[in-house]
Amino acid sequence: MSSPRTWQRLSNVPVLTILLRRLIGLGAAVLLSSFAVFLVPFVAPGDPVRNLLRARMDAGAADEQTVQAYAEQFGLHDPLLVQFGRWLARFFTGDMGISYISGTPVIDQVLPAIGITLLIAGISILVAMAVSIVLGVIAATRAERWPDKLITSITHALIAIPEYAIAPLLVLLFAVKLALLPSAGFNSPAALVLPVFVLCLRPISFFTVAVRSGILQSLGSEHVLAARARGLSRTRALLRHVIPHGLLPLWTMTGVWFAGLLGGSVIIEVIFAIPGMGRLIFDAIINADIPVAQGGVVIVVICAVLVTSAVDLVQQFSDPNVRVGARHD
Amino acid sequence: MTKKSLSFVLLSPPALVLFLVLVLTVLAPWVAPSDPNAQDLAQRLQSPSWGHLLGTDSLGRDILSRVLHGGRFSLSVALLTTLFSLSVGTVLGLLSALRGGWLDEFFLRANDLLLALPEIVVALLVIAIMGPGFSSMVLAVGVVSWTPTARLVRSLAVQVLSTGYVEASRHVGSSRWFILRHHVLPFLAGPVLAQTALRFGLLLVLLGSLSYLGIGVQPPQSDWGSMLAEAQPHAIRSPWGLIAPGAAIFMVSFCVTLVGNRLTQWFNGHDVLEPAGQEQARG
Amino acid sequence: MKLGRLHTATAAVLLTAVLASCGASNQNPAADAAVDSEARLVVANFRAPVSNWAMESDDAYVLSIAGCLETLASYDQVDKKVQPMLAESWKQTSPTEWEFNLRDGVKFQDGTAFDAKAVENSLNHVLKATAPARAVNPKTISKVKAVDAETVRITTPAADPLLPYRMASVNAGVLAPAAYTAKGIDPFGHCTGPFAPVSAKAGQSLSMDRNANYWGGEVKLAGGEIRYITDGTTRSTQVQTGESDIAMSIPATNIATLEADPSVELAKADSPRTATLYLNNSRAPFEDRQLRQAVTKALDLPAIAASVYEGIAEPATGPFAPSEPWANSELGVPAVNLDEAKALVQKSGYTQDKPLEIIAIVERAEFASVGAIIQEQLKQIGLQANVVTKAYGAVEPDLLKGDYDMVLSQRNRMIDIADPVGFLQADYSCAGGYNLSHYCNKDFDALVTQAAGESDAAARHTLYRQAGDILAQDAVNVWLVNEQAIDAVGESVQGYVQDPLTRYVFTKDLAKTK
Repeated sequence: MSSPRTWQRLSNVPVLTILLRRLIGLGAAVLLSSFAVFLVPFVAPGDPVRNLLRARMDAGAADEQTVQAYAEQFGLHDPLLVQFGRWLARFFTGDMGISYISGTPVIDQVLPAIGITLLIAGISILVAMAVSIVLGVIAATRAERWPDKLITSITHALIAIPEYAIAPLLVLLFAVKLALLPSAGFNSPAALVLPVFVLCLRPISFFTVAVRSGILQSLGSEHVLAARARGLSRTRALLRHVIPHGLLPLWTMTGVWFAGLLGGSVIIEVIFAIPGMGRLIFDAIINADIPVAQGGVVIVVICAVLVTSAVDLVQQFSDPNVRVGARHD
Repeated sequence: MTKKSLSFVLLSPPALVLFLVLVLTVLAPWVAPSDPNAQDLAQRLQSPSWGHLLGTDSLGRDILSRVLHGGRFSLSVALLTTLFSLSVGTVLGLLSALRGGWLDEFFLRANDLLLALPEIVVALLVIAIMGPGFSSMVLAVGVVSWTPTARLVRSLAVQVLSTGYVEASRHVGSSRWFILRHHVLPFLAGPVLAQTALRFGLLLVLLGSLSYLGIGVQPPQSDWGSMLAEAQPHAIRSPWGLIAPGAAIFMVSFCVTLVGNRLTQWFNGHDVLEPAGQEQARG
Repeated sequence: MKLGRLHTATAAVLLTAVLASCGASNQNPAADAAVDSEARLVVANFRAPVSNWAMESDDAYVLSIAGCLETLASYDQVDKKVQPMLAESWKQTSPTEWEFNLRDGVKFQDGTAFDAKAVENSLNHVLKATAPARAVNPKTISKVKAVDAETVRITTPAADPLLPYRMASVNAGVLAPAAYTAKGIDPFGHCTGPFAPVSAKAGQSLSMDRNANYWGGEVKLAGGEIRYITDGTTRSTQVQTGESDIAMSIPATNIATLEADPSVELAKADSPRTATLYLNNSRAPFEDRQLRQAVTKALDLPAIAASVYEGIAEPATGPFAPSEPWANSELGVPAVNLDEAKALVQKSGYTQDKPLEIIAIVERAEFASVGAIIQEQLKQIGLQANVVTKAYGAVEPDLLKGDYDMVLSQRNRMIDIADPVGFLQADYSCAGGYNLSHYCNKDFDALVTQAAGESDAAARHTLYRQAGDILAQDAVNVWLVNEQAIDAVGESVQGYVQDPLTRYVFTKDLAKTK
């Protein structure tokens, strides 16, 4: 990274342009997604204020007077654009608003949730990377032989597994029958094993194929052939040249998948009773707690754009073959 | 890579399994051993037997018949969603490649946004607005699932438009439409078709998760996802209600991915999951 | 999801054999010897606090279950009457005034004194809330005043013999004045109960330690934890794996699995919830009583209870469960009589131009199947109906407006207090706030009003029974099955007394064997 060549390239790359484009995109994304969330109570059937009251108190219907008073407290009967404008104005001062249900700052609900999700998503991606590098290298170095064929079949099988079928079966086996792992919750490292396992299945399959094809291309590239010609052993050539080069496609994918997991997997969070981001947003939309849903969606969008931008920029400086915005061409 | 014949794809085991599943579900009313809604409370949660090849569920209904009938819903909604995202993705990807400019920029940002948002949350937004049901499911998932196709179409179209022969064709006065039909679309067909197969498998799983969460198919109708949700409380006594629909989703999704893979190999010798082929498609 | 919250099982006061044996083993010295005084117990609860511990919200239930929050009075399941708790005694000084005498020697967990000012402060906070509690609100209580350090005077707008019952509802819980901060309720150190909360994880759990200075005497457990697990199947699994010791509100679908597990005991009681086919009495065709009676005679309730409810629920005999003291024990399950039903349809002169609509609430998965059975049975008397499933929130406005034919839903008759008066007023009186059937009968209203002012419990129950009989005669709705409140209890738990109203779990007598 600190080689003279990198610095030279840094000055050539229109870093500011990339950042600016990303920033504009981010702004538009935040506006659009938060507005979409905002629309729900205005167009969905049912009375949003009654939904809120029911989240606080389950049984029975509130009288008209209570509904009015509660709506007034949060200005819920104001016109749509007035409400949205008010939210935006607060948002720009760094205030995500107050939950309509708990009456507490949204940020206090969103931050712990994104923390949990970052942890689980991060571990899942790391596990998936580790597994897929091993599998991908084995497959590529034994291309078209039985280990490759086996690994390829496994990767194709992994993406087809519905997580909502495998997760209950795993709970049945490991928690109920074998009593090795907790069935649900988020209170010990052991409780993370099953959710992480289920979450990393699909990334493993995509990553492995990417690593395999990256390594295969790299194996046939000129400078690897040249290095081998200079008498570098096969293992050393693999470690020094082939693998570092062959893993380049993996980094981009990692960013995108990590960003995707930030929304949390609602399914996994429901099955394993994990209070993460996906579930927070899901419940908030169902209960019409719009500030929480908006705050959650906005945080997810910001984190995701940051992660993918960071990956883009890092790639910009580490891979001579990647051009600006190459992710999209 | 040697050119393989089409039978490499069509007569492969996964394609034959898919064909069989398709025939069985389409003909479910005639081939299912019994009425999927016929309850027999004396025969609850039975393991597989000659009377009930896949056992019975918590209300004594024949699981095999329910899987076949549920498959009609699961497969048709996945098929429609795939077609929806295929057509929207192709049109937008082509427009973005052909027009460029602000449209292209808008396209890229929309892509970023949809990549960042969890699919289920977007789907929930649509369903919260439209109410659950068949068409909401198609639209809800269609809204998020067109981007991988669009990205692929756009990148391929950009690639083919910059080739020499398209330039040449343009110089001799070919219309845009002509170029599209004779140069771009034939070039796209293979990879897009292969990716569509993969997408179908992924969407089948995703749509099932909506039903599993209770925001997809609504009773009295059922699909594989809702069958899984129903079976879960009884899984300890009889896991068949969980295994059968789960295996059905897995089998179809797996086979369709393998077919997609063979399609890609038939066209260009790559794996359908490769990033080059489909630009980091996400499940 | 929403589902979990709807399992707010609250139930009639009935001790089952399981509970009786729990209670019995508690008095057994040998069993006492095995109790582990260092044990911590885990409860999987169906409800997570969502309102920042606002005392007027359902969050108060979580604090009460935790053994933190206490009330002036408590409801005794065994004797079926209100008992002293933080108040030693009370008396009605005038028809609308009550004086509560507070217990001596009670301290909040942070060591500050419990006195009349604290009670006044707590109750007034709930009364002032924007969305007030169901049982404690300005319509039922007009004034709370500390007369001296040990006496609180509570004034009601009208004579209300149920005031002590209201003081036993969790929303009337008492916290130290320091708990009411500008940022909301802070329960830490501010309760009087046997357990003091020590840490809370948002959306996950609340941990408590034993309150060594508890006014009620020695607390057997060293501490405990409430985990919020909204999915019923996950709660059931937690008890089977031993991760939780008690799981509350087990759905009917999980019962058979748990019954087969020798390490889990089930505590069951009649719940005050009756699954009901509501009929819209305010418009054609069900404004006609004959047609409503025809539907009642067409439906086979035992078949519904045996199939969809797996035999866990009992076919209903009327608006109340038979175990409730105000139920009419002479009422039986309505017999199916298709001929009479057809004759009634004919007499009503009703001719169908379009199918009727049965709305099944999505949040209760079983209602879709119940709807399908009802649809079949109505067909037999010539009534065509379609079943549609909808989210409760989406249809509530239509239900309240009276814009529907039939809806399958269920209601809790004794929410917060062990008396049905609130239910009868809200659900069936002409001005009722939750009168989904849009039923109006002056005789019924008169009976309920009379009952509300009747201080003798037996006389009040008689009036409730008469009111219930009117509802049954008028065939206002079809009461389908009485649901059950079921908790799963691990084998090492001792001294657990199931509260069908889901208020008390962590008590001083709850214990775990070594």
